Amino acid sequence: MMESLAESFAEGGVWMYPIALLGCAGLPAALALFAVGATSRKNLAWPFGLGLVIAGLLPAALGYVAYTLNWANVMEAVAHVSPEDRETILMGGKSECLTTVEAGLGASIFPLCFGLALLGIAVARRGLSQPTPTR
Amino acid sequence: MSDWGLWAYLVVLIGGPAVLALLAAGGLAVTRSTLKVSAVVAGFAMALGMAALLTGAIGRISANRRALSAVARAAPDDRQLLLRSAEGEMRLTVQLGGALGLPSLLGGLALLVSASVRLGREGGAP
Repeated sequence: MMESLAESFAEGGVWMYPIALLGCAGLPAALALFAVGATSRKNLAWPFGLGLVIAGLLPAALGYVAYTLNWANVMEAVAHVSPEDRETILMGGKSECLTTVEAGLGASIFPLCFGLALLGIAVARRGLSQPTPTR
Repeated sequence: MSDWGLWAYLVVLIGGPAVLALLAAGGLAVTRSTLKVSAVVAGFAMALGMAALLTGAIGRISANRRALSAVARAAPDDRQLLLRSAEGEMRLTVQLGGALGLPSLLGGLALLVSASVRLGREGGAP
């Protein structure tokens, strides 16, 4: 387990650190915001739900950006190798580049899901078009 | 069944409840008194649908990565065969994720918007 994690970090490069940080922070943050948003008397479910959905998209986007940049590095490296080694390096390189996309999507799951569930609770509490009561 | 990997089972495990939640939300949305419960269940259907979609995508990428790293180490003659054998697992996982996740996500969204509009118009269920 630890070995494969270390391997993923070695393959994904420096981009794995922010993705891992977002993933580690994402689960407790999602749980906390879900609990607070679902139980608070103020209308916190909307902002917390939307915030979680947007925060959930962040690691996935970061993973894709990392993939694009890592793939550009692979293509640059491949330009200087002999043609018979080219395909082997491209295959291995693509496999390593995809690590960040996989990690980014994995880190996105919890915030996105808790955010969407919170939006359902927000709608149940108050309809979108229902005016806010004023006193 | 040889195409069924761990990720495909995981997608079914998450996507199945997502579809059930969507059906339950649709059933609850029929009556006005259960509209709020329907909105909550639709939210959970959306969440599970999104999880199924993402799990399907991760499973596909994982299978692709495994195949590519095996192909990079294989002899040039075996490469096409290895890639083709991994293609079935990749396709199945992403198709399962799409088939179970997308309807739950979009259906849940539609139910949520409709419940929101109805709740707003009617001033909330009693």
